[in-house]
Amino acid sequence: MTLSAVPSDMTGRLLMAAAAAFALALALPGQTVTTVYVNDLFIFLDGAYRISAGQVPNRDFHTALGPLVFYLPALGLWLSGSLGAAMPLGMALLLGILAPIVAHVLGSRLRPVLALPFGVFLLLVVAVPMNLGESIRSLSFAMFYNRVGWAALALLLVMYCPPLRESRRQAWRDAASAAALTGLMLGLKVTYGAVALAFLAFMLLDRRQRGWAAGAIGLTLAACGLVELVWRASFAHVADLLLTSQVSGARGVVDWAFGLLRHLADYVLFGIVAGLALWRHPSWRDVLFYGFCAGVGLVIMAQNSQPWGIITIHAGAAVAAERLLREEELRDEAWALARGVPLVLLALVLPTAVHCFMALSLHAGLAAARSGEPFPMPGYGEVRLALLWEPGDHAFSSAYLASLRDGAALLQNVDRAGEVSVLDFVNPFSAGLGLPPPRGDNAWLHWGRNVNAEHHLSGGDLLGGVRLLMVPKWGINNLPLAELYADTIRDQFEPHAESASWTVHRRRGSDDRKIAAPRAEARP
Amino acid sequence: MTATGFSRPTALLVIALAVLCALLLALPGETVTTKYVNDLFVFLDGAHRIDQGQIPNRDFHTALGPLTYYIPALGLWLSGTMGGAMPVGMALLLVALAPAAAWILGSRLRPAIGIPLAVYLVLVLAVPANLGESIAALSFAMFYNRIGWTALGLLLVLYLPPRHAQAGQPVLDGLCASGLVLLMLYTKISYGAVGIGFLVFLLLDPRQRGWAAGALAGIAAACLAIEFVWRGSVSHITDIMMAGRVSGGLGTPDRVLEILLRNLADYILFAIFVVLALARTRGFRDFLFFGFCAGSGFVLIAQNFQHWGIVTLGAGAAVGAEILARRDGVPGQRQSAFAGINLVLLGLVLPSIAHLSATLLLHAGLAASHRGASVPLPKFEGIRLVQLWHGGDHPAFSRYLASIEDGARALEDIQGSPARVLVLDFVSPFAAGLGLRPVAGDNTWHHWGRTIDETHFPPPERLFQDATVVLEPKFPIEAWTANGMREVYAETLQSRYRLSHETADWKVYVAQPEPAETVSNSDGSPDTPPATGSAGGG
Repeated sequence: MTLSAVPSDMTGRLLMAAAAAFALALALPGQTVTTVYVNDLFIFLDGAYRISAGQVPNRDFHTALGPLVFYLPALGLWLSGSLGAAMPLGMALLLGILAPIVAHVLGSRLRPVLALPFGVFLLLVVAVPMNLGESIRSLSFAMFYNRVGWAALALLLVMYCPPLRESRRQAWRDAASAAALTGLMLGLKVTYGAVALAFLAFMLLDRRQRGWAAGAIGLTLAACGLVELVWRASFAHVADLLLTSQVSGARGVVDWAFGLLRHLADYVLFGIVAGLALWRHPSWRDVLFYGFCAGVGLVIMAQNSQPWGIITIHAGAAVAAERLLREEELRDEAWALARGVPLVLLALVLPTAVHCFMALSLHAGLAAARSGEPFPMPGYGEVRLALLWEPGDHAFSSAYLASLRDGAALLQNVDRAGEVSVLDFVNPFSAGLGLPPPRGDNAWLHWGRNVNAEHHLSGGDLLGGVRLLMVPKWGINNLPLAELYADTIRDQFEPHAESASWTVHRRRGSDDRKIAAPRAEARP
Repeated sequence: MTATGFSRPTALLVIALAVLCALLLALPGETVTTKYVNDLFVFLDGAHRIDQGQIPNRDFHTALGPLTYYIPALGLWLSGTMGGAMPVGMALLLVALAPAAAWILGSRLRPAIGIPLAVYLVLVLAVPANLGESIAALSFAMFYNRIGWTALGLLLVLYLPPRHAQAGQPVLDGLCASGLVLLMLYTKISYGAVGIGFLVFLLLDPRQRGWAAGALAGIAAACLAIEFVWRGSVSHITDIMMAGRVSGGLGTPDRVLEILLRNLADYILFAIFVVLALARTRGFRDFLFFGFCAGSGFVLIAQNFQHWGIVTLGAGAAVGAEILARRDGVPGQRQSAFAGINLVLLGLVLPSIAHLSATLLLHAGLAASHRGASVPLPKFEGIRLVQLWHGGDHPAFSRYLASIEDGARALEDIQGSPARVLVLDFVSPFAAGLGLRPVAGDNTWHHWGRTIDETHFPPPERLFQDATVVLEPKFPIEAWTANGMREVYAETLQSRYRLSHETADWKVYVAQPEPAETVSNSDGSPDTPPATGSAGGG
């Protein structure tokens, strides 16, 4: 591989091939294997099931996660007909959508020696079923939206680099790519989307790149308007976001300081490349850009439940490396040290890429081998809990699944089960047993994250559309929730059946009457 | 770089930096800790024992090398305070190692490679924190691991032939190598064994065979001479074997995989150097060397209580960079496309350098400003437990200090001659903290599953031979150890001691007047080594 800047179609093709390989590794086994965060997985499976039952996010149920978090697994479910394939197939499809954008953005802006490792790294960040910064044995689709957000934001940030060759077609493709990435982030998790819009506004300052940035902003706004015409729940979504931000929005200096210390190695490597680039080519706008990558990434990271992984640092380093190499080409005397810059970028991305590749392969292997204990309930036949070499919280996950098995058995003895909800983190029963999902409730309830004693939905809103309420005797965060909604349960429900792990409460007088379902947006 | 090929900038920088770090440690004259307070007490207790005339492995048992106790003892003598024991001891070691480091790095590496590695290795030795832990985890605990890493890191650089051999080169190389290996052998033997293995490996290199053989002979002679004075080698090896039976080996496959994954990023960066260097040299000996760096570092960290920080990888990477740079320097050969490999070396060591220097400065700042609470024993005034933020380990250690204060009061209530106190827990801080005569024949460090377990433990007739008071904690710092010791020594405690009184945190037992040999019928365990050479307290 040479250091030459000639943009080559080969780079794009190789990246597309890598994306295809990773997508196949996810989708072909058609199974979901998880070792941690079982409860998080149910958010997406329940969400996919709700969509397939005709519900619409933020209209029929509350969620501070963007609608795409539910539509993506729903697409997987729709195509495969299996909840076990919902997540892996959904992610494989997303890789298919992202691949041409990766190929275009990186192929047009970075020389192959930078574009290839960085592109493969980003694709693996999207593909790996593992929360960034955790061990490869922590297989889970939990918080996949964070990984997708990081990769999309990193790609967008690389567009700070002017294209190697400018053309009219290039500008149009840039605008479309940037708009697609921004829309993806807005639809998954609004923090990433807000940062993306801020970056596009920053790009308006660059006379050479102003055109596509303005185009991207226009396209994004138009798309948001179109979506709202169909969706008609943007304001309900914003209301849910505000509620969540009141519970867990604020992060302080201490969070940032600890985040900074945990990412010291990445910041130092980024500092080396950015420092060299600025030394050879001083530019205030570059300083702002590198600062944006370093600072905004830290703020997003502090919001996420993630031990490591500020991917904007990697994007900043890729841009700095490209700028440095372009600067060297303009000089008569090449600087030997600059030749090491691609290696520094490699040093920055290769460890994580290998780590993610190992986890992705492990998931593919376990899924293909049908390894692990199938989840209880008929709907989850292709979803498995695997026990790897170190138990981790396997005992907890296993006990959680056992309690679900107990709850499912209890529900099957109750006639005409109807809309079931769970007064805990998430409701696995609707999707698992094929029951009609309730309306008006929340996709998940995480104490201290999107609900607390001060900020919460009213009992009438949350439980208004519920016929049978499953109250666990043991769960993730059932105790504070049971206390919070004790009055509503007492007034509107009556104990109906009980097992070792659960009490089923039935809506008073709900034997025949159909329940009037409130809509999520009805909340003041 | 001078005409002779010896890099004076590197050498000067090594010495200046070592002196600077030594001053940062020694000048405040206090020990600040936020973690592993009980580990610190092992070394302070050891320093006190030396000060009281005890000799390691003759008067007390320990699997840690004797230098683990002589280094803080030297610090204690020079500073006159327990608070100065560790920082001044480490400062002395820094200054003592600096000339060897300057010689090795200056004669082998060009400044662009030697200086980053030098800063890294000096800081590894100087920082008062376990490698791989947060900046806020200040502690001298396991300082012997850091000594071992730095010494081994320097030794590995000797793989490179000198850039331009000078007069006296082999002699100085041999002296440096034997000094480093002896330091490792008598600090923590696993590092020493790896060091000797490396010198044997160097015998394969005809250019360096001479001084390596000389160093090996020198090490053997020194060990014999030391044994002539010390007379504790056999006992030391017995103690090491006992600890080895409890916690030796690499551990389960889970742990092996866990260590590999935790250090994956470093191994991958190291692999970049290996691949590039081997692509240029295609040397089998080079291949073996890089394998030695990766493998020995792995074995050592698996033995350590340490999650991250395989220092041999940094040293091996620097050697790889120097190999590449030397190839590039050959006239007529095409410049390598990877001339910028030095940047990657910077990428490998600079994050650690930033982390370690921040930690060292934090310790110096906290020590100079007398922050935190003193350990509540008269001699431990200069040992301070600091709370950097809410939560963390502070509550547990704060509670431990409160129990020590309570224990000191409990000891005051005992009538008669000054007590010789044995604590049924991880460590006994009372002898050093109160200035009491230390017990003879016991162990400095009990750690369930690490140095003792239910089948391997010191025989009671040895452990209790000299103790007039036994303290049983109600709030132990290491609950497994306290429970285990209470169980295996229950019979001895019952037959030879009587409960004098209880406090909130302690049960105080005092020795009954009967002579020991009539009551001690516990035979310990068949695996337990005899109390070699310890009877009578030397």
